[in-house]
Amino acid sequence: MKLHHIVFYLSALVFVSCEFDESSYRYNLGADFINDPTRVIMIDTLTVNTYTTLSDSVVTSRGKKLIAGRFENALGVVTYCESYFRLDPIKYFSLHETAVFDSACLILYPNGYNFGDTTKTCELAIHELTEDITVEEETGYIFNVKQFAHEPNPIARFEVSLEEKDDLDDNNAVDSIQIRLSDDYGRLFYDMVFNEDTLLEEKDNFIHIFKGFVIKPANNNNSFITGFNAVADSIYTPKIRVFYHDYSPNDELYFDYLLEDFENYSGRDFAIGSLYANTYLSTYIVNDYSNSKFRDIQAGEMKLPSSLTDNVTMIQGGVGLKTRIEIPGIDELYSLGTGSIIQAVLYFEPLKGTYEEESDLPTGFEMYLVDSKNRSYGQLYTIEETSPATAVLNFNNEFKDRTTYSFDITHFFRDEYMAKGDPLYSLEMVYPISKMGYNIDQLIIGNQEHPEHEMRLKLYLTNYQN
Amino acid sequence: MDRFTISIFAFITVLLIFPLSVIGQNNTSSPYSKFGVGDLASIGYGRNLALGGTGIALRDPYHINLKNPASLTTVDSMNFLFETGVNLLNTTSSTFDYDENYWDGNFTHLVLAHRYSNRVMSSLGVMPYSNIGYRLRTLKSLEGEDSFVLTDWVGTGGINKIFYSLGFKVSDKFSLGTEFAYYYGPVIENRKTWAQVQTENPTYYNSSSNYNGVSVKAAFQYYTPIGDKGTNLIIGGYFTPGHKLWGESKVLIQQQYGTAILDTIYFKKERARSIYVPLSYGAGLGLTLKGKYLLTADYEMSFWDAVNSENTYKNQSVYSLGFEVLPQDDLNYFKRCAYRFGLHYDSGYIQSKGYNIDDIRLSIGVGLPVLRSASMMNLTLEAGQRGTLNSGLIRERYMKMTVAFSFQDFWFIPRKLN
Repeated sequence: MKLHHIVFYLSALVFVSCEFDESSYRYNLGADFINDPTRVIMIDTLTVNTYTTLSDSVVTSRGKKLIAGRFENALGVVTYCESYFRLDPIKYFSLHETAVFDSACLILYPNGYNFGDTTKTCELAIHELTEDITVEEETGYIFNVKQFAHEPNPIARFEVSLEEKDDLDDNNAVDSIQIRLSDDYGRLFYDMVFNEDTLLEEKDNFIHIFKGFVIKPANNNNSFITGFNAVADSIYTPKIRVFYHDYSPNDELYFDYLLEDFENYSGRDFAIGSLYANTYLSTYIVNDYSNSKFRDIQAGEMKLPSSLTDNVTMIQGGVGLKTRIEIPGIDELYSLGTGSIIQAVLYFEPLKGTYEEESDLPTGFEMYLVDSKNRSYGQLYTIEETSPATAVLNFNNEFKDRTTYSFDITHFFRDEYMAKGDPLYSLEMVYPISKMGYNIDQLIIGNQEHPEHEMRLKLYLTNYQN
Repeated sequence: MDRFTISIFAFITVLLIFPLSVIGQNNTSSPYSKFGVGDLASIGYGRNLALGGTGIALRDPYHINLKNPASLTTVDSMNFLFETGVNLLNTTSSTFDYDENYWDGNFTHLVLAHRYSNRVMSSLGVMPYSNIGYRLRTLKSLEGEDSFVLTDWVGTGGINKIFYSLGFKVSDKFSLGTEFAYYYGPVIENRKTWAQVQTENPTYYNSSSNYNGVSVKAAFQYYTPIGDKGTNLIIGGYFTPGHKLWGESKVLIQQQYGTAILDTIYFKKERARSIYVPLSYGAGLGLTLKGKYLLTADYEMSFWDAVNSENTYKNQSVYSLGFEVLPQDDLNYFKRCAYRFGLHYDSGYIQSKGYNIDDIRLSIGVGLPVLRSASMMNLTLEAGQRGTLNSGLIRERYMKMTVAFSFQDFWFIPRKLN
């Protein structure tokens, strides 16, 4: 028997003594005599302070719809908006010499966007602009605070009736609104084509004369805001249609001045591309807070505490109303000992009476990290950093009053908790940025002291006593 | 190389492999191994185990008796002993409404015995001192909300023991022995805790401690023939003062979020809370009748109540009884085998909910001589029960088979005819 025999034998021994069983947990054993020192605690008593804040301005150009109207919410805040657009000249279109002008109309296609009290009226008017639509030099955008001057007299007035639209929806047809223009005004557009006016050859010249149009509330009785399609190069694009007849038997002769199609314009400063589509299409959106508790709000650094606004805050697209959320007591959690944040979820409820059905409630709210002056330091992502964190609407069909939103802010909480020390950031909940300038949807939510719609922060954390 | 050198090499080889074989294996599966340093391993193997664990008053030139170093003095002048073994354990753990069954296997010991002189003999060995292996799930309520928190516990590791024993033959009838032991090994506990409300964000607690310690043991044996030839009496005893295992702990707490994020919440290396291994003593009586039968009995006591103030530990008393039909020098192979029976009662040192976690077991064994040598293969089968079903505690019923080999020194003599 030699040494290698011994080594062989010993190796075999080691193998024999290796694992026989790597079986499952003995789930049902042992719970009674081992005390788990790990505590998991739910805390919902941390203070959450909320404020309403307001953006300086919101980009409203380069959108895909025209919105106009006016409505007053339950808190007395009046939202007003009017939209601006331009038309392209008609090129390379000639009429037979026998052609005769019949009539002209403006055609708009409602896109189904309505916000406000749709049971009442929405009367709109269209005016020709007297001021060139200009973009902000630095950014190339137009903002919600920018208003352009127009002729005092409208070229058209019309009332939006939602009932009619519903019928058409059922037939799966696309509704359109045709507003007859005065013959004098319509003939201007006919004559340019009939006479092969040089204005049509050069867009700059055309735009110089026809600076654009505004669609706005015709009076202060409007109770809702409505939207129209504004996608260039589509059959649903806004247009001025001129009807005529000539020697031919066809009695449906017309030509269209279409919504400015920026992609077809290789003009001075802008590259061709869909990114720049509707560069000059924009919306002026303004809120009148004077009859509400929000009357003192100012854009920028100001934080209007919810305690001054009947324990609610507002979030709204279009003007950029946001809800600032401060959680000052995160550091107090250290007094519990070593631990970690498992989950932090903010629950908040829309104010009763501010919505009827699920579609009245906007979704997709985003959260931004902001400093004490409301300056943004980036968007809050989910804890796995795969996608932005957003609010989830849990609509309660049975008991609408119990409808809640939840917002998982675990990532924020974890970062603040791990940072140990002064709070790094506060949170600001905003209407989704990508849709912000093109919607005036709003949400009114209670704060932590609200008697019926209390905001709650549910925090789960582990705690080790060591 | 002389045989001593070779054996030292073999021993060192095993020492190097041994820790690897301990880490990552299930050498026990008992929730009770969560306490203290884990389940204490048997001290005796081979012959001792089958005799109910007795050995304080055993003298046997063909087996190394680990329970009493004074017994080393029986090692025959020509012999060089080498012993090792493995075991296979099947346990059924039960609560009043639930059973689970599992298998474990383990290396049991590796010992060399060597003779320095007519009066001084030694042994050198390595064996598990304790085994840790538990997987548990506990449930508790979440504070502040009506829901639950679950924790999965995984304990692994165990303390190994390297020892060096010396036996002194004071006279033909009286021997003294001493054992110096060095203890080393990890005690690892991993916990995963998660709330029912958010299962994707569990928290991990990982504690890994490496312990070291030394102990010393003093022992004696007194041997006297009485009456007829082949009838004799042995009295033995040992004493071990209490000692401490100390070491370093690494505690790591991590919080997981989803699948990708793992935050380290806490990491610290610190001195581990030392583990106190208590003072113990044992006394034994062995009676050989006409060279044919052996009766042996041990009593041992460990003062665990000094270990802590939490009342979890109680003094431990161990009673063992053994009976052996001794092998005879006969042509019949079966008469050359040894047949052993034992009974072992251990009061346990853990108290839970007012119950001592005691252990009672029966053993039978057979010693099979390897042909044309003094080497022996010892098979032992033990059946036992530990714990209780009362108060939600766990009762373990187990069967354990141990195979131990005692090799004589012919192993280390090169065959000249090869």
